[in-house]
Amino acid sequence: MVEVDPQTPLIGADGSVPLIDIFDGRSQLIAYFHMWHTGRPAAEQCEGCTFNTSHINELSYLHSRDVSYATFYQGPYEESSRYRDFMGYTVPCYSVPQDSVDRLIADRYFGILACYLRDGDQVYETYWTSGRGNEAMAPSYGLLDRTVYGRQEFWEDSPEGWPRRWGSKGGQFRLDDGRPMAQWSRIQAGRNDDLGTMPDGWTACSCSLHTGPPAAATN
Amino acid sequence: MDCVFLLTAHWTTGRGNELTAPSYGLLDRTVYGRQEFWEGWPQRWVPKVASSGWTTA
Repeated sequence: MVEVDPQTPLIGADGSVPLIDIFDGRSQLIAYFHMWHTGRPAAEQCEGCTFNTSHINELSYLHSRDVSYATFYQGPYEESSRYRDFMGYTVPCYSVPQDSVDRLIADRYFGILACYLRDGDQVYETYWTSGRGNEAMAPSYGLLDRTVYGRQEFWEDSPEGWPRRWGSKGGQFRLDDGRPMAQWSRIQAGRNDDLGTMPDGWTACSCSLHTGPPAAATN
Repeated sequence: MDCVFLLTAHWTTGRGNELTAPSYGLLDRTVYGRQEFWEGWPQRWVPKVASSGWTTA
């Protein structure tokens, strides 16, 4: 359990909000730290974070346990809230300003799921996970594990002839031209995936995703 | 005429159905867990919800 500055600012629809206010009066908070490729189109945003986040909609049961939930985006609020609207996400959404990253992420990275506890006006981080640990958010893989063919990923020790067409480095969450899988139904429904113009003070993402082959090609 | 056999590959119920619902898996990651009566609580933690369901106790 690690103490976290309760006044760490995040950016919401009405501007800066201290971390403690995101508890919304509850004693606990779960936050998913959504990776972001700033200045890049929706089709190039994180397929794994889209997989995780697109499964989270109904918060009543967490709220009954006095637990709030929010998505914390790595990128600017203007872009990430447009992405939220395009995807139809309903859970609270905030952007982590660059000055707050170290206080929340410490020596880790975006793409983590963290649990917090509020004791009066103090805040503690009590748990975090990443990678396959984030599947707690997303029932699809747990359900596939109960099917006869499983996840259908290459690494699985399946009998000869069973389907195994999916990778495990991101390509398993993308389809066709590399767009994150859950985006396709939104595109087909005619939703606008324009994330707008990158706001001042941010630098466009130049990570290898945009200079190397598409994730779908590398699985 | 083709014969079609339908086989049930798997079935589950009760807590096994939690696969369809992330709320409990997420609560398991929180410090107070599911907050059901049966959980082995430290003295000052007070569970709020009955183990039989989601109705507030």
